[in-house]
Amino acid sequence: MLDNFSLEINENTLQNMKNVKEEMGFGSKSWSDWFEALFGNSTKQSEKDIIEKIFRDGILKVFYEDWVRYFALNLENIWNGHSAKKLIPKKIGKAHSAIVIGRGPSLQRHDHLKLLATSNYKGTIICTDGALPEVLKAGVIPTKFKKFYVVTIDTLERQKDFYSDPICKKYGNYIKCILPTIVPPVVYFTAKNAGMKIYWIHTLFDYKRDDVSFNQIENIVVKAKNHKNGLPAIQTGANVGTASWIIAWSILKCSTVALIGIDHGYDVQTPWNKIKQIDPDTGRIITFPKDVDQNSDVFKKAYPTIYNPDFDCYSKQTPTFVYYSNALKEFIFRTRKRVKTINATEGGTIFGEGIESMTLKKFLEKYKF
Amino acid sequence: MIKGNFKIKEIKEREPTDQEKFEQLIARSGVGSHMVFRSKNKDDELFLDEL
Repeated sequence: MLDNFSLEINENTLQNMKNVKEEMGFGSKSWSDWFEALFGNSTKQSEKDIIEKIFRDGILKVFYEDWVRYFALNLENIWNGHSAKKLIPKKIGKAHSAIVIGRGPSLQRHDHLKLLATSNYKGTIICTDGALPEVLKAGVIPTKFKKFYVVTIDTLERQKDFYSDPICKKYGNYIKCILPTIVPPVVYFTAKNAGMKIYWIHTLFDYKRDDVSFNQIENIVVKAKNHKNGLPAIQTGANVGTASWIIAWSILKCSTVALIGIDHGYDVQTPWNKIKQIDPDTGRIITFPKDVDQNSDVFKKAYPTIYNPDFDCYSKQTPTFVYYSNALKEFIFRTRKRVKTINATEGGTIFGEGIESMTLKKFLEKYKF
Repeated sequence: MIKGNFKIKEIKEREPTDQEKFEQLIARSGVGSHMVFRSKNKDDELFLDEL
């Protein structure tokens, strides 16, 4: 024992403590065990919850001020611009589908852009910003695929590079671009200068129905001029692929959504040191932590190699992709009665209940519009 | 009033648990630039027609 410590409490408090100890199932256990349960470090959380909490704290630390600043700088353009609500079809007729295009490794491996470009698909194309230049160069162009959208979610200035490619200017007039109210203004201006028509959405991150939050403040400010009914607000799942899937069924009302290039994982041959992330302390780009025992069980949980039984292949994930895929798979499961989700990536880590897997070729044969 | 005495046990330096090691590794692995939204009201979590 280190020391003796004494305190004074009144009789009622002691009786209340005894009652609570009893109620918590600690009636026959020591006071020390009960205090440990109350104040100790014995809380066991799921790995999914741990990852979500660490990412949430890290992302808010790095980006919160940027988001508030960007929103303020975008405000005039939001007030004078279009709500993504305009994209909601007035009549929801017969079932129609969308293809969400990411830029995961399966896209090239299976030559999916070539297959899509030469198809007669008449459905909706929702392109993630990072994939846009390659998608257009491959011939998946809005003059052929008339219902063509591009989405940005990441709030990094470098997202502008995807819109500054000359091919974006060539087809910009035919592309509808969906941007969050907290996008860096330079991204907005680059997309607009490429000729794209911009549609604004809110991205949910701290909304509370009955309490103060930045999402709630944004809502009030946006409604102050022109947008009396506000803007649609979406879950992003922390990445543009998941956000595009949400937009497909929630705003564009597609009844079936196929995914290509949405791997949420790397090829197993990709070396860890080639993978870059954002440092939660500095906001700078960092590579894989070097002094990590890659044979430890903890490493294998944080950086798992996933077997995809639907396509009989393996992918490896960083914690970021574990974070993304956990959320996307959960959301697909939760909405499985509302929207049919087809994984046509022919690889990656998105599989499970509520997800139908098929090749892109088969999808294009089955779904014409 | 009631007086109570606490006998304080010495805490020996211990190895971090696997959960703590996992948390430390995740925290060092970097983050993305957006986050999963969680709400007590599950109906609000995926999509709001108008905010």
